[in-house]
Amino acid sequence: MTGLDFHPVFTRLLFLLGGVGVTVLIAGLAFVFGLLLAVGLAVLRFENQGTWRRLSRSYSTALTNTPQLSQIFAVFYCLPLMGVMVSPFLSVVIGMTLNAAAYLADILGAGMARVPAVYHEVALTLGLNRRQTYLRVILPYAGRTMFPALANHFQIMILGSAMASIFGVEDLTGRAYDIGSTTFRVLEVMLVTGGLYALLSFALTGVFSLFRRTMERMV
Amino acid sequence: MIAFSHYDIALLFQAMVRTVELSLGGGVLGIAGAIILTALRLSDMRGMLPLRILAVVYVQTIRRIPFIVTLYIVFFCAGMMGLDVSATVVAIGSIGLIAAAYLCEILHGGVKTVPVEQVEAALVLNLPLWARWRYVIGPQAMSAVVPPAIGYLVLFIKDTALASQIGVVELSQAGVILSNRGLPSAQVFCMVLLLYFAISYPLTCLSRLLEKRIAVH
Repeated sequence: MTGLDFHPVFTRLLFLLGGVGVTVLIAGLAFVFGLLLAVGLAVLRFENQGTWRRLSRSYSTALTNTPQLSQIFAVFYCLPLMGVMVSPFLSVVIGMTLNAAAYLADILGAGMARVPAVYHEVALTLGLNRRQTYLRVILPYAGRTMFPALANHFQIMILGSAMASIFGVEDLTGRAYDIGSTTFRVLEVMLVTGGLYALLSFALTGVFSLFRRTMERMV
Repeated sequence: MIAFSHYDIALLFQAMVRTVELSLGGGVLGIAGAIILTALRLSDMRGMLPLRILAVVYVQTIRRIPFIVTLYIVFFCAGMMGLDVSATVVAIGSIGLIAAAYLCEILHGGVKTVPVEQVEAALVLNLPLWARWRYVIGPQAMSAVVPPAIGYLVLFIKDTALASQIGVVELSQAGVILSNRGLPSAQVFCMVLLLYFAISYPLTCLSRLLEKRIAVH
């Protein structure tokens, strides 16, 4: 095995580190929009018995059983056909949002089903309307019990956002690939990138557990 | 209005077989690796301590690195070491490496759910090692291991789509090839997504069924 030479990577470390921001941005945007969609899907599932519920369930089944990469490809190739021109960045965010919504709806649905019936009754007795019941009673409760699952999914999305590099987006992996193809030190740069992802993930774990502890103290 | 010729269908079919190969190969390697890693993590011999730490570090780190980065690392490592292996082998190897870490976490967690008293009782009864695992720990850990393990296998069938990035022509790559050939993208990608669904959905159902079965017991 010829020697590893990390020097060309370290001279470009700042450029690489900038990719961390893009990675977090992609995952963050997709997570927030996915969560909004997921709340809609979960409420649909929770409120209705018939067609709407089945539709919401089918959405999750369909998108959790197909690869995110193929979904992004579908968005990437098919939106322009429909006359919608979006940048690679946006098509990745759209694809990941649709994918995240499916998983998050499953998580939220399970969380909402676990809210004790008494909560619904109390909300009814207090004269809260449907919207208030969801926003002030059910979702906060479900959010608290579901926090670990949601945080875990965000971590999965950070890893998943590496797919953006395939579409030419300059996220962490994309920038690593750039550096690799200009310096021919692909293995070295990928090792450093892997380390950066691991550090990012450990940092996020720390932030989430801190957030959780503060939240528990406040309640 | 179906634009596929039988050549295109053949390509899709071959690609689907490749996806199944990747999943099966990676799965088998992953299970084998997970058993070894878990054995290392559970071993309580003093001399094994460094290996134990190594196993824990491996499991904790590799699950925090995107699959595509691991894939590149293994791919270029193999190249630098002068190994003459096909991209498919590299992909199966990387899937195995990652699957081993995830499955080890599931297996280790499952074994830990078995109450300590059970293991102690088995020890008091002087059961040999294999009997402890075969009759005491195994059956009790099964319920905590099998459903999530199958759930995870379903997850990584979809990760095999990334193998396209090192040049393996699997299902998602076949979709890109057909789309670039000028076939209508919408039809091509619907087809690809449907084929993935056909592989993944039965396994999802199986995992759900097992979960229910085990919950009943």
